Amino acid sequence: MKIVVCVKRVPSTDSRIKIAADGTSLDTSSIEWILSPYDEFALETALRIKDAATDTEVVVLCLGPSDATKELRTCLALGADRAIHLEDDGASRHDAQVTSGLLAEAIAAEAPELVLCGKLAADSDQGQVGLLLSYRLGFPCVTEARELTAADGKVTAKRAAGGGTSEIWELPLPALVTITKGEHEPRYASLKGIMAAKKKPIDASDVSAPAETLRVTLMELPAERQAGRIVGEGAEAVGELVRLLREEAKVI
Amino acid sequence: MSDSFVKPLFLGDLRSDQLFPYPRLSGEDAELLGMVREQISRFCEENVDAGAIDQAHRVPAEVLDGLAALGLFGLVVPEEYGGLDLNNTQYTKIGEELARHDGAVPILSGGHSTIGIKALLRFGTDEQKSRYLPRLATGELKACFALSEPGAGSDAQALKATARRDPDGDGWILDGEKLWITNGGFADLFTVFARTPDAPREDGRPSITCFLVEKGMGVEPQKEEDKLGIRGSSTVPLLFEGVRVPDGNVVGEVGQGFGIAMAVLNAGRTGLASNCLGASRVLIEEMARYTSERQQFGRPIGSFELIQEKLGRNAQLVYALESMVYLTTGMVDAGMADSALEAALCKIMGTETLWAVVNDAVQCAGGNGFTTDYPYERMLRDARVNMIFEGTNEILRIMVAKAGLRVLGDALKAGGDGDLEKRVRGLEAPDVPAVPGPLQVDAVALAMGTTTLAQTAATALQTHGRDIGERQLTLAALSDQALALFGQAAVLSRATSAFEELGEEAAAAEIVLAQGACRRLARRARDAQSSLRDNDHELLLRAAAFVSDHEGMPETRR
Ligand SMILES: Cc1cc2nc3c(=O)[nH]c(=O)nc-3n(C[C@H](O)[C@H](O)[C@H](O)COP(=O)(O)OP(=O)(O)OC[C@H]3O[C@@H](n4cnc5c(N)ncnc54)[C@H](O)[C@@H]3O)c2cc1C
Repeated sequence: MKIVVCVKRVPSTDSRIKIAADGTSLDTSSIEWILSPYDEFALETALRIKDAATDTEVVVLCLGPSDATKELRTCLALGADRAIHLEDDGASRHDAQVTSGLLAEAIAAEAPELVLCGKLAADSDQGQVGLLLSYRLGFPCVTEARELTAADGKVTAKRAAGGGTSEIWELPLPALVTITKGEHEPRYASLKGIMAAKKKPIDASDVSAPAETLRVTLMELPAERQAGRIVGEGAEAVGELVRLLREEAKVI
Repeated sequence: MSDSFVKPLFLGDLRSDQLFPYPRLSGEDAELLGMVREQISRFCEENVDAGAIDQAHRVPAEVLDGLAALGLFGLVVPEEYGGLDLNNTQYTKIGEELARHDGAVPILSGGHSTIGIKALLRFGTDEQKSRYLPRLATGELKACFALSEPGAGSDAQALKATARRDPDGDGWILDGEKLWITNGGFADLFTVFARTPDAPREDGRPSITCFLVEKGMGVEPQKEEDKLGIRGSSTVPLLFEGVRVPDGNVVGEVGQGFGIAMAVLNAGRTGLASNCLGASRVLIEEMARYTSERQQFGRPIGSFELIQEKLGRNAQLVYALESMVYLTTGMVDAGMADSALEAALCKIMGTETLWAVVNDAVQCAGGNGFTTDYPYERMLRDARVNMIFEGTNEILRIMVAKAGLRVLGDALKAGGDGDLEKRVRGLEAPDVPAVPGPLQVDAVALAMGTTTLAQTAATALQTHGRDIGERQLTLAALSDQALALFGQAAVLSRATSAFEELGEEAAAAEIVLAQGACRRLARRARDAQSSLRDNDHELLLRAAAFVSDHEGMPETRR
């Protein structure tokens, strides 16, 4: 089976976020980049399928700037077989329509049985690309699967359905599944994996994106947190605290 | 580029061409480093608990196995033997990363990669390498470096462990004792230095040979030392009683072992410096957080100038340290053959900077800093040993100054009569390195400081002649000047590259740090130099004589 895993490079969660001078993008000068965590889960899911059935080929696909090779190389070190890098330094500005269009084209050329995406990218937090992709490819789709197994020409996805219950879905192939955090922590790349990754192919090509239909007009940082305040001590303070929580903070 | 940058400073030569541009990893090298560092960082984040390691006095086996699987023991092993083959800069940055998470783990890693396997890597035969390196790379075998003995610490050449020719075979029989051997408690392969009197050297110096001794040949590790800090790191005495070592396990030539030991140690000191850098950076982050949250007098303590002084000063020092370390590793990667002085200065700067940072971090945290509820006291304990091992800072200061004076001595022999006199009067300042406007004052100070060092060195030789080796206060003052100059040079190199690549605005913070660091270092150099002019040293030595004579404080009126 051939699995394509779509992966994106995002700012690490402990990067200090600064807005660039243009006001509509991030100042990337001091950002550490990582693989989006949900994409890590998606890759881990693919690798587990590969662990169980060794004739599986795992291809990682990334639309991103030319220096996203570090993240792709990491995917290869973790166990992916090869990588496709659609190089586009403007990738972070694309809306989900444009992104899914470019990815769909590359996926169609690969004709995989299974496409996996993270449930959302940790930077834009939109969760649109997987869904749009399934529509463009005409693949059935289950979102936010916590577990996924493949056997006998179909995949079985388990997802949380509210109130602690789980749903089990069976999808015929080809299919697309978006992945959320499940039971399995992503593995570490091993020494052997890192060595092997040096020799695995990254197929890089420039892409030119069509014009966006949507664009970010302004980015804002959250307001500075105000200093804490002590309203009193012991039981006497409760009344005032409740009043403030209700009237000022409006949380109860 | 194969020459030392620091040595010519003693001649008044400032080799600016070696400084620019500030070295940077190539895209591919940066990518590999990023990958390895990310894995190790995530692993440590999730699995390494520095407090628990400190209390348990050991690094748990699962952590060691996990790190081994990530390649920690193969960082510098060539690819053909199954390692990652990291260059000096990449390896050093991994040490920095490890030190962010714990004090013992980077020492364990360095005990293996910086010193444990280095003699084999640099001086071993292909056969020896294929025999051991593949298993060393995976961590199946762990290594250590056994030089020190009860009677041979700073004076390592005084070691007494002895290997005699085996009368019944083609090998050696090793007897003796080693002390304070990092990783010794669990190591499988021991790089051991021992006297070989059966094979005397022609020059009459002690014949010392380097051996690769397998645990199974009969090494007996003794009880773990109970230490002030890095308590999770294994430090043990080793006993060798009639241990048979085959000829095939001699590294390099018989009788050349001491040179091997020094070559390994001299090249490795940037590793220790980068550990200090990693710990310093974490502490500065902690200090920033703590001082912005802790309120006294109705304001965060970070709003008081005497706290800001600590944040600012340490940031300047850490910037300088980082610049020195990665200038050195970059020069080594570019082919500099002899980095002994640069690495020694990095080690001195790193260990003393960390000590200052951790001391200030404890101070900023007040009473909390003194309790085990916070990491500061552990980090303070862990930091202390750095000034002691891999060459004490005293020994390194002497080494740097003597090496510089040797270069001066050679130049004087070549320069003929009157050369010393000319140098004592003062040479013309070297060309001022080309740096951006905001750094020009500091570049001038670097050029002038170089002339001052040359003049001070020449004056020291003229004043003390052959006796200079005993004038350690003078030697240390020369070393401190060299350290300051190397620091200023590294800072200017790095900040200039930042300025040119990022532009004035984006590099603004860096320029502020650079200016502050340069001025602080220049002041150190001036202090060191003025200590020679004034009679400080005489007063010091007389006070010391009182203490020795009275076995304590001299009689004074109370
Ligand atoms: C935790 C730890 C781990 C270690 N790991 C290893 C290891 O893996 N392998 C190994 O071989 N060794 C190891 N060592 C030993 C270490 O290298 C020595 O402790 C160090 O070289 C100092 O030697 P010493 O302890 O005998 O001190 P000494 O040499 O007795 O020095 C005591 C003091 O006198 C000063 N002094 C000595 N000679 C002079 C001089 N000529 N001029 C001025 N001052 C002088 C020193 O600077 C120091 O301040 C380790 C030590 C420790 C504490």
